[in-house]
Amino acid sequence: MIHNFEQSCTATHKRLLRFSKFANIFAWIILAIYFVQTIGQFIEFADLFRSDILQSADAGIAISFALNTFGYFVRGVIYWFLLIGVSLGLKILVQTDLNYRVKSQAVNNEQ
Amino acid sequence: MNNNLRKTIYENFLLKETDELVEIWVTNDRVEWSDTAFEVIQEVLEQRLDELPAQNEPIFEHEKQSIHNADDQDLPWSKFTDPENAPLLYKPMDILRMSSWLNQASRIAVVLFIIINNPELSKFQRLVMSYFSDNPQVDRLGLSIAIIYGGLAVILEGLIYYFSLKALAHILNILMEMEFNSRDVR
Repeated sequence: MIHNFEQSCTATHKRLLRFSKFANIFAWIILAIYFVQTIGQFIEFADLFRSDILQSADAGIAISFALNTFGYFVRGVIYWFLLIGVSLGLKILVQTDLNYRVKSQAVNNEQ
Repeated sequence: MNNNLRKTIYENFLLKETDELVEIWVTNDRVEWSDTAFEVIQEVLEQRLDELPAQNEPIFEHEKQSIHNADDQDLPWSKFTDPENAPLLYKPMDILRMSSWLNQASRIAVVLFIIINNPELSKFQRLVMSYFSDNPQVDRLGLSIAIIYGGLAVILEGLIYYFSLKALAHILNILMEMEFNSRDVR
């Protein structure tokens, strides 16, 4: 059956599977980039507070900065979800089409 | 009123097949069917059958089963995770887990975006207010516009993420269902 399955895999299927793999890898890259960006923002935020610039600043600016930093991370996580979801969706689509192709081949062979 | 209702139910049940009535009688779902309905079914079945079949325990409350919640994997989802009939390209458990996460993330995203964008809202408010700085009489109008428009923009961004994540969760579930339906032909 797996033999049939592999035989049924066309160039389009392989391209879609490559795209799925790429989306999966890209998801992790995006997450890493946003995570690094969050850490960068946090360090900047901490430095500003350690320096004299923001010591007398009001709490509003501090909260705004903290939320902005947190926002980077949240966006990164959401993009990760979307890309991983797309990657999985493409795999299911290819699997579904292959299942039908294998059936079609089996019917043809019986005839 | 009761007689009329009973008569209507009786006439409706008379039109039903005996098998269908037996199924309702045996299932004994008291949530779906009223006591009067069961009295009428009993009457109809007594006319059609020699002996009434035994009833199950009465059902007074339906168990809540959310097919959208991937945590409820006992009944609807177990068929997907059968290792005997597993797909080659993906793991069904990954989909179920991702679907569950997407559903949770969609709800959390709305709240987080409203919180995160609050500073942006105050910036927007200052921007709108600057247009009305020359005319103190319309200050209140400017403030209202800032709150309404800025608030809408923030909520809309949250909703865009909400719908994207929610839609993706449903699409994954539907795709997996489609794939499952094509599996037995493999």
